[in-house]
Amino acid sequence: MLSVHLPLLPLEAQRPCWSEPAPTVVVEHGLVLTMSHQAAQAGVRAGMRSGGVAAIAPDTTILERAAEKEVLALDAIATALMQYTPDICYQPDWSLLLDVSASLTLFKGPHALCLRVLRSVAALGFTLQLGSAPTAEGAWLLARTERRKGQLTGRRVASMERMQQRLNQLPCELIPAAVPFHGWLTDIGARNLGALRRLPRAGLLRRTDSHVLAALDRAYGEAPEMFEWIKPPLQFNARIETFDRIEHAEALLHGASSLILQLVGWLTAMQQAVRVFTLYLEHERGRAAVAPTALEIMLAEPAWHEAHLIRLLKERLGKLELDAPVIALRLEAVKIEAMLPPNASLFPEPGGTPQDYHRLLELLTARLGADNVLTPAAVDDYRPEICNAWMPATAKRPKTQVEDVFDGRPFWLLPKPIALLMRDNRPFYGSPLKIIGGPERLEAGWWNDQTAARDYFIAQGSDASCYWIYLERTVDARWFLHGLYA
Amino acid sequence: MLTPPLPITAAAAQAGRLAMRDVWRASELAISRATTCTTGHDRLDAELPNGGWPRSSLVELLVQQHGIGEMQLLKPVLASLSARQRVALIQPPYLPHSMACRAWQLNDRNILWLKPASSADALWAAEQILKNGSCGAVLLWQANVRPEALRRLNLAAQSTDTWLWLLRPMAAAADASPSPLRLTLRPAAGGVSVHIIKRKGPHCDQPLFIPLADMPALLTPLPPAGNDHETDAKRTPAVVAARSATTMLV
Repeated sequence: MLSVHLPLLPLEAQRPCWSEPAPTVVVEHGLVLTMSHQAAQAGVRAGMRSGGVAAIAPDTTILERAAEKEVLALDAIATALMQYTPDICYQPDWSLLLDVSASLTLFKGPHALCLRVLRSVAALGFTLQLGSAPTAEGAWLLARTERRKGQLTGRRVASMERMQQRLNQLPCELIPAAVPFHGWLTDIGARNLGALRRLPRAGLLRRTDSHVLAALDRAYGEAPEMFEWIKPPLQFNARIETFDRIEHAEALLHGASSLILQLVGWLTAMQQAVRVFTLYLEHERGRAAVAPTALEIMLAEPAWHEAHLIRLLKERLGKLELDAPVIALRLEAVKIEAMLPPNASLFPEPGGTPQDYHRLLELLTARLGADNVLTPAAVDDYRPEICNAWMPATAKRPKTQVEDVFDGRPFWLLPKPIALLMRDNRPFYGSPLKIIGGPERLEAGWWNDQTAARDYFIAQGSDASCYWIYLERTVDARWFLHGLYA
Repeated sequence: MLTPPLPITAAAAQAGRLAMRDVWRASELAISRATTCTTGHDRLDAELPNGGWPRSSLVELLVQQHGIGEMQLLKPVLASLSARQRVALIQPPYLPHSMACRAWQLNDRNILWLKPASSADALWAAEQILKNGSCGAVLLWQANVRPEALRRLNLAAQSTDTWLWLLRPMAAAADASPSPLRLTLRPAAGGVSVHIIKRKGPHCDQPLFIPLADMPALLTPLPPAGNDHETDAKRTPAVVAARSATTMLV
């Protein structure tokens, strides 16, 4: 069991941890609830009045607690973490519980898994304390322990015995039900959970709440635990506010990648892969309302890999010019398909898998544009400029087959034929051209007023380089250069 | 008394060569475990280390001008590579002609033409393709490449199983380059004149003439002097422009 505790959730739901470090506090009913590291250094403590904060650290930003933002943030984290396990549930005190017992082999052990969870939550912009223990209550208690100086004990334990040893040292007030009895427990010397457990059960039950014993039993693995796992929504649609007006598309990447993380978590939980998704950049509302900019990203191959999706988005955002400042981002999965299981072959092919190639094409297309990543399109026509059609490599290739193959065509074609100068009644291009082959007569396009009637010749310059030139069969016959024999 | 030295017979010289097989002589071409692919031109194979285009390294072709047979020089290797793997052409100077690809037995389904807007984009695309490793060959055209970009390309090439050719103008021959194989190409009748200016082996003194089978000069023998091209130019062709669909419908 992993327990993800977010100590600064009220603050970070409004100011993610990647924003500029500044003294900030969140107040609820006039009392400080959480404060940033800089505010704590200035002397602000939890429970202080907001007037006191203004007196101690005058440049501190005071934010009112926004409960609905916290709920959204916790939801976002839960969705993003679904890529590690489908079994996630909420725990009190801004915590999430992950049952990862079935995922340990897939993610190569508990340590690697914890690192990935840490990285994912940090990418979403939250500070976290991660506790791991065989029981859910134990993991929750460990996750919420404060690190103290001179105490060299981690929050993560694997075996039951180690967990019980660790729990024995924890202070009693970590159990919420025991907080009202804190004074009495301290007076009788029950300073930690170990001492609390050694007290006679009947007496403890009579003098305190039954919840204290129940929580204690669950933590030590002596009572069963029940969970209500979060069910992922059937449609993916996540939104994030940017906390500031953003005018550069590249600065949106932080927010966009946290949306992608949620998308990946949701896809994994649903065992789906995304083919088309749209990122909406929402602009100013109200009087000067601007319609949101939609950035639709189509994938050649359904994907659910975070790194690939983020790279694609990065290239697309890098090319985007914003018309108006962005205040929020929304990500919507437009088209999803069932996830295909990886098909690992015994001897991997040297050229990479087709999926690798599709990923490459998407990446190139995202940066260069679909019209600049081309593959030959087979078009049946005699005119070289029509026949030599290219189409985006990501587009679907038409079924038509071109059977005719003409020999003696040059490898390079000019985008537009160049009219050649004439010297001594000879076409001239750098040097006088000598005709060494031809003619080959082409006549096509008369059916749609694009008549091309040409006699093609192969010509050689004085330096022996060869050119493909043609004589236009019009009244004033002119020579054109159309290709180079490379 | 000193015995006169034994005359070295041909058999003894052969035995000596066999015994010292592991010794590399400066007059020999370097032989390494590097994978190569035959160029398809025997004369060129004989002059290249390991007898072919090296894989996973930056090969520079310095051309006097574009369109002098540089693609035909690469035709055999591209034809064999494109049968199974992709060939990427990045920022070529003109439009590649797909009909010529087909006529050259290149698998045109595997040809990828990239038209990046800037040189930086072209280098980025080349690096991404090399890193991805799903293409068999990359041909990159660049006029001015900074030395650090060349080093970066060479490093990227070394980490993959891809053939990489960089086509640059002849003026770059004087600049230093990390590429282990550099060739200059000049036009020649019926082929191309190749001069190896850098290779792992002895200095190459003479430019090589590589005959290219598909160069048009060989297809049709040169017409005798005083040929009919002037008459071609003078000949008034049948005028067809006036004839078009609309006029016919009237």
